[in-house]
Amino acid sequence: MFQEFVQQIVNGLVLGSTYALIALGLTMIYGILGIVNWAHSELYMLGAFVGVFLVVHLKLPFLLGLVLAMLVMALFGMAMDLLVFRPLRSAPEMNMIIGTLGISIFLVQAAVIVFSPNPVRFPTEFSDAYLSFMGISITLQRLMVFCVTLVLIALLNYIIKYTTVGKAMRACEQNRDAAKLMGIDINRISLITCAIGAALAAAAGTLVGPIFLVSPQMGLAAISKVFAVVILGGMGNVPGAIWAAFILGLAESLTAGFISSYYKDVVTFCILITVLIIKPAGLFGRSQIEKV
Amino acid sequence: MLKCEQLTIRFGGLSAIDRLDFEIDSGEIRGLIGPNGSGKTTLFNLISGIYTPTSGSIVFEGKPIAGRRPDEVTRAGIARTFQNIRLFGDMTVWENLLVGRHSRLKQNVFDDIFSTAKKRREESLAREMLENLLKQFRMEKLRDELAKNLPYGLQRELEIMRAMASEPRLLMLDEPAAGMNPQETDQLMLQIKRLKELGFTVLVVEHDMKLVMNICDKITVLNYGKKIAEGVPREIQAHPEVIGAYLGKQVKDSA
Amino acid sequence: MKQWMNLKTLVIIVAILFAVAFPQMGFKMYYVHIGVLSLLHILLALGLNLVAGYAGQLSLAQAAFFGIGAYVSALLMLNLKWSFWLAAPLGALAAGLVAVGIGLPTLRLKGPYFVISTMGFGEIVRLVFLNWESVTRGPNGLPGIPAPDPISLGFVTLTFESRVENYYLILTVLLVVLVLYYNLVHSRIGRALRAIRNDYIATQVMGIHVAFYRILAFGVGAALSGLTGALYAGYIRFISPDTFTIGESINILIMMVIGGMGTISGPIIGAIFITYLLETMRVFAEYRLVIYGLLMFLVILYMPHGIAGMLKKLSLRVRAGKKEA
Repeated sequence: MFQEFVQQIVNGLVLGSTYALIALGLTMIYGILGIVNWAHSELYMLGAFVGVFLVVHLKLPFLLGLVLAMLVMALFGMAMDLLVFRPLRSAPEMNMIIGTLGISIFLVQAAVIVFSPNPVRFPTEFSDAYLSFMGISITLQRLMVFCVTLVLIALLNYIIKYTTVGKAMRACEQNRDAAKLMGIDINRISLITCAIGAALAAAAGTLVGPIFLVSPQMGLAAISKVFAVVILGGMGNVPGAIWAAFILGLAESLTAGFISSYYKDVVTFCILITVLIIKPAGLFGRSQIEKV
Repeated sequence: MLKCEQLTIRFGGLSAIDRLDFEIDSGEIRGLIGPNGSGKTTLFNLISGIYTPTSGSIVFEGKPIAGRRPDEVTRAGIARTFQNIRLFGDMTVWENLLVGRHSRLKQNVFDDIFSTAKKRREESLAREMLENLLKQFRMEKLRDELAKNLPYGLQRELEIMRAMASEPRLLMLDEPAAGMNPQETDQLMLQIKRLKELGFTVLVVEHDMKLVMNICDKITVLNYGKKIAEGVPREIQAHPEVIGAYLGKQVKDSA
Repeated sequence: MKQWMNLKTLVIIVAILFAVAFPQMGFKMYYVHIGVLSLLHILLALGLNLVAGYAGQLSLAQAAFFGIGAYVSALLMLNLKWSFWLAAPLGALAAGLVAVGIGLPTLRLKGPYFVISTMGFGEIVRLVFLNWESVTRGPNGLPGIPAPDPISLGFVTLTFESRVENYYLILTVLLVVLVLYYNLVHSRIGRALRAIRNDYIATQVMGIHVAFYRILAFGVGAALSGLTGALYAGYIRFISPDTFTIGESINILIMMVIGGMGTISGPIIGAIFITYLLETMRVFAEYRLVIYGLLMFLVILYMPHGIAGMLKKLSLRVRAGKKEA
């Protein structure tokens, strides 16, 4: 019982890490660019495929592959900013959602054509290494997901808080027009934001790809959860998204472990709907008064 | 007609409106002035139901309206315009007016879906009223123009017309002269005076002192969410606290 | 203005005549089947259009309402032996009521919040169809759904067994729906919905109860999808959870967007166009979705009112050109 419990906690942390890494980019892109990016979890899916290519086909060491995959996807994120977000920037919110949903369908189907619809295995040098402790064994890969996530979150925190770029990003989040008047180059900031967001999603894909399987549908399966995380955390709220990711990850894996795996998706939405009814701005969102 | 007592709203720790007592009589044109951030627009948002007051009461024609939804306040007989024009840009001038008339149409959902005689009667009454309104403002020719394609001055006028379409008894105008040139402002002054003749009570926020001093029967001055003075234009121009807080030389010049 | 109205009337008359004559034109039965599917998709796209195109709130739960209508009416016919003519309106009503229940807490939420709630709800409904086996028979679905009962008009008895008969039944329903839909959109309800999409704060100040109209649009749109579900069940005679997925919701969305949001002709054009392509291009299924995805992005960006909006612009330009000449 105790072992089962610990096992589910570990699973929950892995799941939470995945959600956190994807959700961070999504919430930053919303906060700083004002774009609702429905295609964001496709960056996670593509990141995983890039990881497979680098680690399995080119036989690079896993951690090097991880860093390279993040770089490749950062470039992809910048391309997405130029080709998709910039034209959509002044569109109504619903049109943004429809537009990026179209891009999501495009990317998933393009992946199906290029990589085939069948799931791919992603073995790494850490997949078969176990760490045993008090009768509980955890694969090194799982442990690494959690540790790397913490490192990336710390890094992101440093960038946002202490660098000039980070300060400019926060300025844009507060008030885009004022930031522009202060001489901040909005286009540059949004490129950097998209690069960081895409790199984080790619990290998630490469980290958990070896635990689950890699397939073109993995992004679709994650998107609604990730949005749930972002909404619970308060749209645009970075620390909120991190907390919400781990809360939902744990809730989901404990439900799957102790109640039924049928209900694990239902639980996410029940939590979401309940929170939205009680606190529409999300668990960690400041309730904002609309300027009239 | 409208009476606010001890009206207060706090955002975080800050009182945007602080224990305000405020009363408007039927048939007057009341000016509301004060420096930027003194709480004028906040007061509008409180009266029109967009914000809910932290404490205090608002009574309109004997009915308490504090904390009611904006649509309920409008149906009670108050209409307003916005400082940063909020027209329905993708709809025509005519459709904007029809939406403004919405709350006075008496048909129900079934009348609308089945296009009953009642619906057609109500709509033709509305058309008649709105045609007159268009004529009054000499905008018949622009009827089928999209609102977002109108020049700025006409957008402001259309917003006033849209507010009038609901036949309010109290009309609240938030900086109607903002961004207008002197000729347009003169034109606007005449129109607001005509509103009074038509029996509307008007509450107007405005920075243009010439307009305020010329058309208002009484003026209320806010600063930091508190009322610092109230009286006829002549009194306000001479009021030492007002001059100190906000107006300075400007008032004497416009007299 | 007059000339424009005449052109419009002409197009409508020709379209109706074509729709009525279509099954008699000697096409293979397969094309009549595509015709029926097109009619059903038009109804679904019209339902979504009310919420998204007019009220400006994107719902990804339309396939769920479609499914609720289909399952409720099918179960009433199979288990309680109700007539189709009673079960179908009840299916529609059930879908509408469920939408009102979902809409009450979620519709006051803005943009992405509402979309995610509807997506989650759609998923939950599909899980219920799949897992509530004692009632829905789970993944096996419900076979043997009876066709709508014959109607006797005294001198002639109408039956609804064949494809062609179903085609006419659904076409009749569609035409009635279109008349009511036109009334709704051109009444103060339609104006209020468009005003909400433009600026909901200003709309409130016009004395319009925004939540009421949003729920009305969502509920009516869902009831329309539910009714379509009942018609679908009566036509195909078999339903299973596979039909009512998020993928179907997205199909409906593609139809509405490409045809033209916020217009009446848009969902009609889009549904016919996409249904035809869906059925005839099955071989290229993979490439088809790549194209649709990209198309959806480009259409929303460069012609937000879709094909219908483009046609309208064109005809206006032609008219302006004539005037000058």
